[in-house]
Amino acid sequence: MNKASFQWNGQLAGKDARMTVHVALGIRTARDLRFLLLEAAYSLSGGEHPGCLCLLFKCGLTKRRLAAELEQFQGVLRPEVGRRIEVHALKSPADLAHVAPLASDAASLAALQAQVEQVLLGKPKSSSREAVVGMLLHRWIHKLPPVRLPELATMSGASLPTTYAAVNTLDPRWLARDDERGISLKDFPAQAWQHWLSACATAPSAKFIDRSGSPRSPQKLAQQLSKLGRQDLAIGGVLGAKHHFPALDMTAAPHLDIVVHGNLHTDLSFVAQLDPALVRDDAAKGQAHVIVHFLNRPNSLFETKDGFVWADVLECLVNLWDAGFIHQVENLINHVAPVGLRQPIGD
Amino acid sequence: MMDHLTPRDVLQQVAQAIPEALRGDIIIVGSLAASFQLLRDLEQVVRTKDVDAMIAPHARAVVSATDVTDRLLGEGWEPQVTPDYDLPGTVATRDERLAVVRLRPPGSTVWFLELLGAPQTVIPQANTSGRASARLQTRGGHFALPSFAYLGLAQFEPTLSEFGIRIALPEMMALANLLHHPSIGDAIMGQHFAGRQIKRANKDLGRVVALALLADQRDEEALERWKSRWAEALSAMAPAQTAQLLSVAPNGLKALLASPRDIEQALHTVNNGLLSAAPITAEQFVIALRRLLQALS
Repeated sequence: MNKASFQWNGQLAGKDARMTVHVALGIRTARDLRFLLLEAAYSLSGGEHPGCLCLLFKCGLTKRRLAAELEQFQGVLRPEVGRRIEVHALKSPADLAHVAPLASDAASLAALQAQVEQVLLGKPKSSSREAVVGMLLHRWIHKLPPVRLPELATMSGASLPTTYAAVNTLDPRWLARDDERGISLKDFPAQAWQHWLSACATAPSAKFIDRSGSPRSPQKLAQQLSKLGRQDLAIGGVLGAKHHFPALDMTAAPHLDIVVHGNLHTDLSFVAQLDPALVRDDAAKGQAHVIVHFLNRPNSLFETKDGFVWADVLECLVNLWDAGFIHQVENLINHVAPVGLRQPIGD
Repeated sequence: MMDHLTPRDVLQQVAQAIPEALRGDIIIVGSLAASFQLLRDLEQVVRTKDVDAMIAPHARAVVSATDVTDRLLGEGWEPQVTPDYDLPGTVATRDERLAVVRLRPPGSTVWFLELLGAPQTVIPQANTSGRASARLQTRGGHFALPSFAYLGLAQFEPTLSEFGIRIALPEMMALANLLHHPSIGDAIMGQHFAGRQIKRANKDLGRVVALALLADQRDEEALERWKSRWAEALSAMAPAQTAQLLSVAPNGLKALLASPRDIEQALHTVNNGLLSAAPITAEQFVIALRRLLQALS
């Protein structure tokens, strides 16, 4: 299921006290919805719970599509199970007040609203092992001094256990340790790059396609982005890579990569300000013209120069890898990494 | 009736008929000018029946228009007969019965050259539409030479074609249309447009969107320059009103954007006119409109 989904642990009042409540944010595909509904159905199978309430926020399915999916789902359930599952697509936490079991239960309503708001408006606060390794790579590339694990955890926004776990995934021969228990990278072979880039590239992104028939160039879109004057939106991908390494072996960017310092629920309405022709289509079969990536760590490491905000070189590398520009990834690593690559990364 | 013309054919034919000294006083405006400036292939056909030629500057517009008319008549060009007007006009013909100079080239019945005069000022007199008219006394009789205030902006830095005739800039024709239509008025065009009754404002504002679309397709930075070019033109031709006119210029576009019915009419006109070679969808039209508004903001 979608990472931003959760089962609410609070309790409703009265006859609904044992009802389960599933909250799902940002469902965009029928597959995610079906997964949620199956979970709801399973939760009823023991007979312990009288019903299940599924609350969808920022649901990307159209009303018609959602209704069709629900009808189809009800069609395959036994009626006595089907009628115990309620699904509501809501726009904001305030809409919870109109959902029957919650409307008459002020305490539960407030608690659930607060939790949903927190998830919807959440700022970057968590990070993964990839972020920890990424921070070590950043410090290595920029020749920064060794860092102790608690500091590394803070920098990458990861918990200390996650930071330990991430460091333990690295071959000890690649690490240097100083007298003050600081660590740094001293090597990062091609295979490690490949593993790290592949893991980073699995992160979800938002794709936008052009509907005008005469798409704006990535350069023009980047100019428009700079006019917004936002420090949380950076240029990544090929344009970003060429900023860091003008001699990159690539003449033109196929699309604009934007790195957002925020999570999946960041408001992306700014994309329409870049060009009114851009429409979100995460399932785009053809080429996307803008791809938005999310950077979920405390420090964006963005760089501002001449009015343009640039993603750090590692983010650009991930974007290039994601787009399949393996040769350019090797090209850029050889330019920025202290020891370069000793063998092709794609082998 | 409409026919397929290429900008090159028309300019060449007009230039051949007019002495070199007079060619510099002619500025082509309207759809042929737009096609000349914006279509990549000057051999590409455009759908128009009238080729609008503004005679400038205002100070010698009547004299030059008279000379151009005499010359073309002498070359065998024929006046287009219009039932509502007297042709040939005489000294006794009342001003409102005078026909505009519309001349068909020898052997052609599908298009005509229409003469307009450069206005005295690009700002309309208070409570007027900005239309004025002067009487031409030619060898072929009396005619009217109409002028339109805002269209005078087309005199700003027109492009000199290889034929010695000047061509209005797309952004100046767009500005003239926008200032003329700060809202969607109810006035209907005198003749059906591709089989339909169309509001004049929708045809003119649709033309602006089509100009913007074509300019944008040629150069994605073009629309960004329009506002500064408008400021230059207005500063030169209406300095006291520059700021005010710049601020109201997008109003007609905003009104169009808010009205799907008017958008549909405007789309009909561009797809049967300037964009007939590559018609666009309503969605593409709205995107072009929004892109222009974005560039002007």
